[in-house]
Amino acid sequence: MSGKPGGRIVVMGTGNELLKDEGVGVHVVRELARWTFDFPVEIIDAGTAPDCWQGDEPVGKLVVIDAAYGGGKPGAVYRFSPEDVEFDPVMMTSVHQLSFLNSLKLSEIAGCKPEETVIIGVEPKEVAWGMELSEELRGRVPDIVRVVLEEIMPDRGAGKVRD
Amino acid sequence: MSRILIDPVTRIEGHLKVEVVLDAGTVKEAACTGVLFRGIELILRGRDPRDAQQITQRICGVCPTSHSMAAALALDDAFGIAGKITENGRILRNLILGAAHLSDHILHFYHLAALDYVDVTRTAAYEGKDPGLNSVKAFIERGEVGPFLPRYEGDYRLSAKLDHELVGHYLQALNVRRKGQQMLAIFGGKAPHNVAVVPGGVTSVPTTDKMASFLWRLNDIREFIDNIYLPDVFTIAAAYGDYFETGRGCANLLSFGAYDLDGSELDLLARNRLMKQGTVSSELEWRPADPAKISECVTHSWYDGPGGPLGPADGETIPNENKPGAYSWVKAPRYEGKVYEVGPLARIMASYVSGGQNVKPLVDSALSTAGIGPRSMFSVLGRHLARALSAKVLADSMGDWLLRLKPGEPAYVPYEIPEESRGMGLIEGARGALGHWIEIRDKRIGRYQCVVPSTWNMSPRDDRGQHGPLEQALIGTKVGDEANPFELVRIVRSFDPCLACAVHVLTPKGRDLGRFDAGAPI
Repeated sequence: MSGKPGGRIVVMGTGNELLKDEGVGVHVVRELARWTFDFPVEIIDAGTAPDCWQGDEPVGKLVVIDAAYGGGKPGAVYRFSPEDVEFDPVMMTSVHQLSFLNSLKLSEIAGCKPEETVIIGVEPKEVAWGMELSEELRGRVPDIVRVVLEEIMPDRGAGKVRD
Repeated sequence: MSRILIDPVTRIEGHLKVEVVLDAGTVKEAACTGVLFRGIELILRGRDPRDAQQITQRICGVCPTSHSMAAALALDDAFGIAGKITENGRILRNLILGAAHLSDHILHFYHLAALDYVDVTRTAAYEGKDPGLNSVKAFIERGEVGPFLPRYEGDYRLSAKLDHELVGHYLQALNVRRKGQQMLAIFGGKAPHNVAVVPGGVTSVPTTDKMASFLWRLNDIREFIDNIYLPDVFTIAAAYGDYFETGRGCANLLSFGAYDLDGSELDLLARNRLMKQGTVSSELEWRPADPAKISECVTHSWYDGPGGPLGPADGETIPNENKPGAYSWVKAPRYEGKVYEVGPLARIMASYVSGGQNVKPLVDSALSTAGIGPRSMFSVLGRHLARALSAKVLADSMGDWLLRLKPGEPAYVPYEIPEESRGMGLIEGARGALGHWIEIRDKRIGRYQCVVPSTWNMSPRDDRGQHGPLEQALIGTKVGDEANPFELVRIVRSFDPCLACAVHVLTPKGRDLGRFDAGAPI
């Protein structure tokens, strides 16, 4: 039922960039969008609509970058799978509550769940109105980019910076 | 007396909280609280005016496209080019906005509202061969009910056969919504948060390839609306007819109108639009809408401000979370000092009552199918029916617009940013009347105010003590079973609330996440 082996690789950054570190995923994929790859990879700035990772073709691997509270210091990076995350069932009153985890569940029901999903979580320092990352997280962006690159291309050096 | 609190607290922080007080099973008092302060106006101050259409889209995960349109219209106005947008620019904007609205209406009905009326747990007894339904069945058997539960128990009235059929449509709607998002990306450059809608028009140029790619998807969506979405609304209406008499609300409607059919008129509320602008009263009287009559009141909101209401162009955003008597971060917009509901119901009724030729026969036929009079549209089911009819009117027009695009011709006009100026952008978001007001000083944003649909509908009381539309729709409602207050949640959902967007911070189960170090912080 899930994506064919060797299906597309999708990297999605999500979060609200108006809320400082909450938008770290968006800042990371903007950096990644400067790279070229010699294999197909789709890079999505999903912003505040994290249900848009599906396309017409099956997804082999989905890498999601988002802010996550994991108890570490600001800038700590976590790698986990959706099964590690509380799917907190709530009485929904707004379509805003159709979250990423929700979209993943629905994709499973619809038979188009990605073969593998990895979430790269980043501990935020500040979630408050503002468009810039905190200094701690800004300094971590190159490291997070490297983590994502290692995730999607086990053969290091297969990608290069375009500009 | 007892209290019921519907408070969907999760990792989402921009949520709506509704508190009602029940007396002998009837709602005596209701208070809507928006809990996230909207700092967007403060973020925009001092920036390049052209940033507004990108930044305001991030307010929201479900209505970014509508914000990009309102911002572009406000900037066209401020830059003095509102009457100069090319035909290609006007049509492409309509198609981009339309694609977003189609996918939004379908998402709301199937993935949020329908499960109030459809018993999804009955899928556990499904014996047929549909792979989607069997997949839902397997989920329920495994106890994984995340997207479907929790819910209230008791009042599900459809037959098992209809329940199965509508759950099947719920799954189909996922694919239909995806097509809508793809249509948005074809001309909008990307979805979500399109990059093509800008002051001066649209940055993408129509090609026959793009038009063809858009058209087949549009045709699939039209087919879905005609053969599945609208019939499903009538199926639910037939079993839950009392909801045409529930959740009436303030019965004053306001629409700004949407989808420009002519781009030369400078006054946006006088423009020929597919969905008409205007106000509609409970007596079904239509009047033209006048933006000068809009004001915002902060008496019961956590903001400092003058005693009386202010027009949005002069609006202030001075937060004060300790203000006595305040209970919401939402301001209270009013029209002529009165309470007005916005949304698809207002769009449809303004078009219907003013005799809009695309809408009148369609609504008459829908009223006859549902066996109701036009005044019953002021209700829970009326709002759902109006949303489906909005989708149909729009989808039926988009194909004609598409064919009027001229491949290779410009969709954009150049402009210069003035030293000082003001602009106003009024449009309909999927959820109703949306306005952006900009003031430019020294070529920078001096002031920016957004009045969004949910601030109208979920507004708190104003300086005269008048309750907001959702509060009014709840007050007086009889609740059959206090442990399962279906009536209340059905009323809330019929408004399709949309407040400042969610914070998607994930909260792990109390366990170590296998944290690893990605290198020393620089």
